[in-house]
This record gives sequence, structure tokens and C-alpha cells, in this order.
Amino acid sequence: MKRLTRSAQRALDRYLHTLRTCLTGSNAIDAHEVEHDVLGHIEQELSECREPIAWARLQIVLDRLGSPLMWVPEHDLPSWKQLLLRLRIGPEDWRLAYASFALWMLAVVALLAAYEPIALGALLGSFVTARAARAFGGELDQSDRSKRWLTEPALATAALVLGGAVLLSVLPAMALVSRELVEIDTLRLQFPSVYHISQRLVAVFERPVSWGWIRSALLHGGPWLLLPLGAWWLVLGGIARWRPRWFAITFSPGRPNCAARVGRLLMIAGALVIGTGVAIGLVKTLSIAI
Amino acid sequence: MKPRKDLRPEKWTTQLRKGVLELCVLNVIATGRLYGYEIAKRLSALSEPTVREGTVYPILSRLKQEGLLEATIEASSEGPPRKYFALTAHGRRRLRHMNAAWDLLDDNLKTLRRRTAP
Repeated sequence: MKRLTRSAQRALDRYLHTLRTCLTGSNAIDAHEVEHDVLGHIEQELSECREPIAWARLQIVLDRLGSPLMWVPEHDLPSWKQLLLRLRIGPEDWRLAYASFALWMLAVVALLAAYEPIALGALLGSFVTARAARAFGGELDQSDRSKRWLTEPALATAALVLGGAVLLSVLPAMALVSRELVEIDTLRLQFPSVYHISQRLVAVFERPVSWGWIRSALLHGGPWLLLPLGAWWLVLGGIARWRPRWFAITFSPGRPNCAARVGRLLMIAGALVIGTGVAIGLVKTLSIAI
Repeated sequence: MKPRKDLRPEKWTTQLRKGVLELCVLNVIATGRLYGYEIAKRLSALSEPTVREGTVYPILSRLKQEGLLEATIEASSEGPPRKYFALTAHGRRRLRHMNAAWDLLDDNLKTLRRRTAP
């Protein structure tokens, strides 16, 4: 068999899976033989194409072959097989995408009605089904683009929640570390400046989180809060930029280019946060000196 | 009133073509030993795209299981080995019977249409 692109190989595997599902169980037809013959047909059709064969080229051949669902009259199959077929294949390829959108809608409604546990469960379910729909549909080729509108809300919501948590995860870590540091007496005696910084950070993190918190955090925590945050974003940006696949696995399945773009933006944001931290530190030092 | 899905004209035509596809496959193979791809191509050239090329393969498998066709695999200089199909003696008898039944049906339908024509 000629070498296919990844999306073409997935489309072929899916087609053969459908073929096997449709024909297995029929007493009159040897499913294995038909699969072999159909593969021979596809190979013959693609014999003059340049490798790797693209999805679009393969799809022309598969369209001409037609869906295996149409090949066998239903009455040739036992009734359990007919039922199984209806449940497993066909235009129901869309079931996962629809399920994802329905669960996402349920999550929104549950959130508005203040049923948080249901909202969380539905959101998790919508994310899992959206990822499954994407994995099942392969890369976003022409036929799958329309499914994107059904799966994107779940993926975007999950990316926002998870992304926010990852971006800000350094703050609780800092709160924890600074709380531990102020408990160490030797630190107070031997490194008083580090001790004072830890004290300031503890004071910042003890205030209730609100819009005013950001202002007071910048005023009191200043550079000591922003420098680690910026450095963390630089690290995350670097991972997304140079290891886009790692980032794409979680946030943007099938689109490593998008991950690289986000990585660049995150690194710029990290540098800006560090710059702001340094600027606040300088202003404070200068104002004290004056 | 909206017509029932299975009675719509295009659906009826497709079903009719599918129904006679077995007869077409046997008639194509009666012209000589052919391999699956060739049979599919010859039939699709005859029947427009309403009957897909893939439909031929389960029919070939069924006809072979029924003993109407025999298959032999031969090496090919242009790619993988090819499976050639030929009619068995039983297949030739069945084809004669099916062609006769078709001719009779065709004649009867023509006569009926002549008689009922306005």
C-alpha cells in the first residue's frame, strides 16, 4: 500500500472499520475477503499518485466506492447486527460533537442556576466528548470543520479554566513558600531582607482576593510578586513555543502551530510582567532614596 | 402530502439498479475473466454514480460463496497480485436463467405499456 498522510491514513482506517462492522456477521459475505479486495481497489486507484497521498485524494476514491453501509441489504444481516450498526456507525459520527455541545449547554444552564457540581461534571463531560470527537474526526479537514462549532465551546472553556489555573498556579505556591519562610528564625537573623520580603508576601496573600487585591498586591508585593510570575510565564511560553506538541495535547488538539503562537505571546507577556516588576522596584527604591 | 422516503423516484431508481446489479456483474464476467477493479470500473461506466463501485465487492464475495463464480489469484506486473473472477458452470446456468427472466419481464412490461399507452 502506498504511503498516506496521517489524516488520510485515519480516514482509511475509519473506512475499513466501518466496512468490517457492516459486513461481519453476514453469512453470505466474507468480510475479510471484501476488505482485501477493496484495499486492492484503492491501491489500484492510487497507483499513479505521488506519495504521501493526501486525504483529499483518498476521499475521492472512497466517495466513488461509497459507504459500506449501503453495500449490504439490511435483511442480509441478523437483527442484532442491524441494531448494532445503527448505533455504531453512519451519520452518527456526529454524535460525539452533539453530545459535547449538549453537555456544554447543560453546564452553562447549571452554572446560571447555581448547581455548581452539575456544571462542573457537565463541563468535564463536554471536554472529554469534544476531545473524543476531535480524535475520532482526525485533523480538521473540510468535512470536520463544521463539527468545530459544536466542539469548540467545550474546548475553549476548558482551555480558559485550565489555562488560567496553570498561569496563576505560581501564586499559591509563592504564598505557601513565603508562609513557611517567615516561620524560620535563622532566616530572620541571617537573611533579614529575604525575611521581610516573605513577610510582605504573606501580608499580600492574607488579604481577601478582589479587584482591590491586585492594586494592593502590586503596591506591597511589587517586584517580588511579579518577577516569579513573569518568569513562570516565560517558562510556560518557552514550553509552548519549543515543545508545541506538549502544549497542544492539553489546549489545542491537532493544532501545534497555534500552540507555538500562544507560546510567543506568553513569552512576551512574561517579559512585560518582569519589566513591570523591575520598574515598580526601581520606582520604590528611588522614592525611598529621595 | 410528502411522499414516503422509500417511494421517492430517485430512491426507487437506485433500488432498481441495485436489484439488477447482480445480473450486471454476472453478465460483465461472462465476457471473460476479469479482476475486481475492472468489473467495478466497467459497471460504474454503465450505471452512473448512483451505484457505487464498492457495491460490487460484496456481490462478488456472495456469488463466489454461492458457487456461481470461481476466483484465481495471479501475479501482476503493475502492482499487487490480482484476483480474477470467472463464471462456473453453475454460474453460467444461473446467468442464462436470470437473463431469460429479465427478457421475459422486459417483454411483458413493454407489452403492458403499449396496451395502456394513451
